[in-house]
Formats: sequence, structure tokens, C-alpha cells
Amino acid sequence: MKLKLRQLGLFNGLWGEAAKSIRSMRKDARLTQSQLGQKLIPAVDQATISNWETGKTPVPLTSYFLICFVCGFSPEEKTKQLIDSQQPENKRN
Amino acid sequence: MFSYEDLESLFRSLTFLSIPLIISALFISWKNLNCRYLFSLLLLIEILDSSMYDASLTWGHYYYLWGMFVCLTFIIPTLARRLLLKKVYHIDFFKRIYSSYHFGRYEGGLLFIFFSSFILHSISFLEASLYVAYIVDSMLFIEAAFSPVQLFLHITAMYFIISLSLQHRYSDAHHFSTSKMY
Repeated sequence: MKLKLRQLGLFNGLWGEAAKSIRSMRKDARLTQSQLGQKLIPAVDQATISNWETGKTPVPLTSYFLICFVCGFSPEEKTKQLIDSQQPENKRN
Repeated sequence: MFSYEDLESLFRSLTFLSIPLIISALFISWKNLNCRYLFSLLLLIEILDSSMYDASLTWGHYYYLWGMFVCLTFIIPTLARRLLLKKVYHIDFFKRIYSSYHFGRYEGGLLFIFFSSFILHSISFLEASLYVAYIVDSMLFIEAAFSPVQLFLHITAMYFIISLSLQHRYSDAHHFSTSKMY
């Protein structure tokens, strides 16, 4: 019984760490909560991301998997600026 | 152009490139305590994995189960290293690491790679178990997809490790710290 409770504590600890890491990953990738939510499959709203980050609702494993992918593979700041600067030219063409 | 032996030696060298790469990343980002801690953990696990590599190849289809276990040993310290720090918080060195703790997007990318590798090994173990039990006649996924996908994941993980070390090569500064929030 004690071992099960300890294992549950470890599980909750890992999930808590996952929730805390979402915010720092998102900030590091320079994404807002709504931007991150739009990039997920299925897309979620800003409130859901906020609930995940604060730990109010547990983040599903597949969603956390996708968040790691989106934040990890998001382009560097300089690449983003380059893409944004080229977008008006593409629209004109 | 490329013989089977050339490709095999290329795969083998890429497999064992991880340890020198992590050591290089450790030295590049030595000034950053957070990176030093993360790369030290990854290096320990990588040494364990490499030392068991030849033995694990003799375990038949349980090699993929071992791979799943190794992926979990990569995931847990990467994700929960702050919890590990809490256990040794009374030691001054780990207290300093705790105060400068940061979980960035490259760590998230590494987690994605480890998750993907875990799924890859799970599917391979399932297929190999079915093959050993004579339920299926061939191991299509293992023969066609396992090696190329694992190689791609390996190279991508190396990219994230190098990127992380170069991002923090100069100082201990970081953009956002979770330790300040909690």
C-alpha cells in the first residue's frame, strides 16, 4: 500500500513537472498560449493551455508529446523574422 | 557506391558518436550549471546504454524491451531533474543548480525524440514478439523502418544537444526560469 502511494506521488510529481515545463518551453519558443494551442492536433484554445500550465487540468500525454514537438522544432528567432519579412512579398506575387 | 559493410560501419560509428558529442557539449556549456547538470545525466545514461549494447544484442527480441527501458531512463531525468535536485537540495552545488534551473525548447525537443524512440521500440518489440510466437511470418516494420527512423532520431537528438550547448555557451543567463515561479 505504501509503495503504491509512493509510486502515485512520483507519477503526480512527473505530471506536475510536465505542466511546469510547458510554460517555459512555450516562452523559450516565443509562442503565446493561443499560438501554441492552434498548432496542436486537435487545436485547443488559450484557456486550455493556461489550465495545463497551471496544473488545473492534467495535460494529456499525446498533447504534451505534440507540445514538445512544436516547441522543440519551432524556428529560431532570426528565421522567424526572415519568414515574416518575406510574407508581404509572397502575398503581392 | 556504398557497400553493406560501409553502411553498417557508418551506422555503428553514429551509434557511438553520442558519447563524444555529449562530452563536447558538456565542455562547451560548462559555465551554465543547468546544462552541466543535464549533460552529466545524459552522459551517465549514454555510457550505461553503450556498455550494455553488445550484451543486449544477444537477448533476441528482448533487445527492444531493453531499448524501451533505456528510453524511459532518458525521459525521466530530462523531465524530472528538478525533482532529483530537491532530494539533494542541502548540498550547496545542487542548490545553485536548482536556483538556475531552466527547461527550454531544446529540452522539449529532446523529450520528443526520446518519446518517439520509445514508441518505435514498443512497436518493434510487439512485432518481434508476434514473430517469435509464429503469429506473423515476417518483421516488416523492423526490417524496413526501424533502422532508418532510429538513425534519424539519433541525428536529431545530436542536433538538439549541440544547439542547447551553443545557446548556453557563454553565461548562466536564461530567458525564463521555472524555479522563480515555484
